[in-house]
Amino acid sequence: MEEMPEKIEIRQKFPSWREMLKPVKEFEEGRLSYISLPKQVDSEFFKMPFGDVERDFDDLKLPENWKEIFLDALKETLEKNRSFKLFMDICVRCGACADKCHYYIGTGDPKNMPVARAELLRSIYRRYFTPAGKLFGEWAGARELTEDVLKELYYYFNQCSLCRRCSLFCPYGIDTAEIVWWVRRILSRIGLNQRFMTISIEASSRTGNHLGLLPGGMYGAIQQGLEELKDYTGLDLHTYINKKGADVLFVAPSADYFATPHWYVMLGYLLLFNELEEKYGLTITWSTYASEGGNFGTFHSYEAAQLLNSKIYKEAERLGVSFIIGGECGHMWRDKHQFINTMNQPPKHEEWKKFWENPDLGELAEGLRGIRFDNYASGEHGWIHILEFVAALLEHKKITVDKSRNDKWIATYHDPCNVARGMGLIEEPRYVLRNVMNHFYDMPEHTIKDKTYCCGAGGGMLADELMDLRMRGVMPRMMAVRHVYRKYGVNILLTPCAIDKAQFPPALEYWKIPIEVGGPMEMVGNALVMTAFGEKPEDRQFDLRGEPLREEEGEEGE
Amino acid sequence: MVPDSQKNMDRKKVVEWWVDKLLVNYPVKPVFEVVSFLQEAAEKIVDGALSLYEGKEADLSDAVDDVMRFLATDRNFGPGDSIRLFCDLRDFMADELNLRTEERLKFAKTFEEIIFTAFDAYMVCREKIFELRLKEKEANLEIMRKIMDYASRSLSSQD
Ligand code: SF4
Ligand code: SF4
Repeated sequence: MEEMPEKIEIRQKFPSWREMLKPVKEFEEGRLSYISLPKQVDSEFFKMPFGDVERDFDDLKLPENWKEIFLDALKETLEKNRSFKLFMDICVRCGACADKCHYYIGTGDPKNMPVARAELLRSIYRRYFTPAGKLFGEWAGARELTEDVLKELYYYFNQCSLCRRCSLFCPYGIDTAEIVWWVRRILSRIGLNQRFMTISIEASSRTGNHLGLLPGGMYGAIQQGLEELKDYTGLDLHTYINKKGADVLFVAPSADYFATPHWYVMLGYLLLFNELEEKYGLTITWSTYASEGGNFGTFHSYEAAQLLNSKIYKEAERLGVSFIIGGECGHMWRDKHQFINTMNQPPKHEEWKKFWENPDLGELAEGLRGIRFDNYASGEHGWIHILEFVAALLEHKKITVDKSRNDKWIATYHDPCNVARGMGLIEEPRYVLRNVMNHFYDMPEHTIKDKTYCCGAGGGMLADELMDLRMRGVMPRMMAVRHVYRKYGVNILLTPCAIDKAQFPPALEYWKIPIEVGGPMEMVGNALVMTAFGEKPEDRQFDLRGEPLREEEGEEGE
Repeated sequence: MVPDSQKNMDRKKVVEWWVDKLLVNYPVKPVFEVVSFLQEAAEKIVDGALSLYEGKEADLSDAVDDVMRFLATDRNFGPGDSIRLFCDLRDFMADELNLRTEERLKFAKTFEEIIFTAFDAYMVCREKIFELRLKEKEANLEIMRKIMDYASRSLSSQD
């Protein structure tokens, strides 16, 4: 595997382009997303056009003027978004992106090549919006918009995880993920929405989080976390929920409250927040209103994304915090790094404004002076990534860690697409891991950092009906994991993303790699010595999974 | 006893030929990871088939299973096509080994074992996909259960 970079080859062996323009007629189980039901897209809280119609893929029950609506929406998108218009015109079909998509690599389906995926729409663009396409039709790579073509669009534009790996290799920087995002929006104008993402969007618009948790559920989960920590550490810990006047608002993906292995990360957050308050007086609060860091709207449409992320700045303002820390979530960081301040007004209250004029943590807690957020990858819009934050705490020696508490783990790190490629947070998580554990090994270079392979389940693809697609989409990532598993005996795959944490366990099982999945904050929580509570390095008896810290070695998962 | 013809078989050629066949539907060859995964399994299967022919023991279930993990989730190969790929390998190997009729029959007979293993593995992989879907549903149910449990406990603790 070491000689891999040389082995990547691009052989231009496209099928004929005219063949490509013929819509596929067979839609495979395992790759076809279910269509939303009215309860997801015609609820009091989330309404999509024509959402009241119950439809399935065989009978789309389209509105009579669907074609007109579609083309109008396409026209509007072209006029309003110059990058989208550029992406429609500029591709030279060089093929550099062709074998960069994990869904193409996994499935071998030519229409899953990013260039082909975009071409499915470009052909329509050419037919209706360019003179050549209007005149020469197929000869100019143009095609009519028919119901078959529409089905094909739904099928392939819901086989993209918006990971943007393709755009990294495109000489023009064409962002297929952006094209996909707009196409999904256009499809939603005629009533075609993907069920998995709209279940969460609806829940989040109703309750504030994707799981549909009501405040009591969230409160109960955090309470449970504190009780478990008492068992594992012997310490009496606390936390704040909806605390007005706290210094910081903390927002996690809601899966962290209940799912496994997300839960261990949640315990890590709680330990860190307690230590920081006890030692430096920095107060961090959760919120039952802004109870979701993720934003499935970013998979679906501009409007849905805006609807879901509107509440967080509002809550920051209501509570009067100075900044926000975001937890271990991937797509949250596309949302919070790139979208949120173009969709919503940042908070305007005094504390916030004052802090960001001179973003030194010493302004909030004297003992933390010197930690400045000016140049943070994540800091731009008032949001700080938890791992960038921990990296700074470690660098400034503000927390004490005992690496040996993680000695049973031999870890590797998966860069979530949106964290690494979307935000450039690449070295900080590695810095944290190297500081909190003794055994950490990266996967081969061309599969990590900004070139990271997707988990195959982001962008709304975590649906269970897509299990075939997911298992094939994750194959390149799994093969890189298999490499470090064999070479270094890696026994845990760490990732700061809630979707990864849900996708990797089945993926590892399918590809027969017997290792565990976890998040970096779990390792931080294990290693963190709660000095402010009088804890000594050797005091801790259990890890955050409730297992004894000092046992015979050689455990390798199930 | 190893037949002379066998020693002359170009193993590399056979493996490459078969891996290309497994990837026949890819218009652009996929990256190293995918190819090497199949290559490794193919090498073991080719070597194992020879061992079986020589009357030696060979456990190929893992390698065959690896190939099937791939084929069973491939949109282009149904169960029959997947098994046929093993029959193709058998015939190609027999040609490459220059086997005469009688030897050919014997080779085919020993290769049968691999084909049966492949069929089992295909079924196991399909079942695995559904098992994983089920597990995911169960995990979601477990989340719902916890939500209700924690919420009711938090309510009672506030009383
Ligand atoms: S790399 Fe860019 S220009 Fe080349 S085919 Fe892909 S999208 Fe088109
Ligand atoms: S964004 Fe990712 S999933 Fe989508 S086409 Fe590009 S590489 Fe494939």
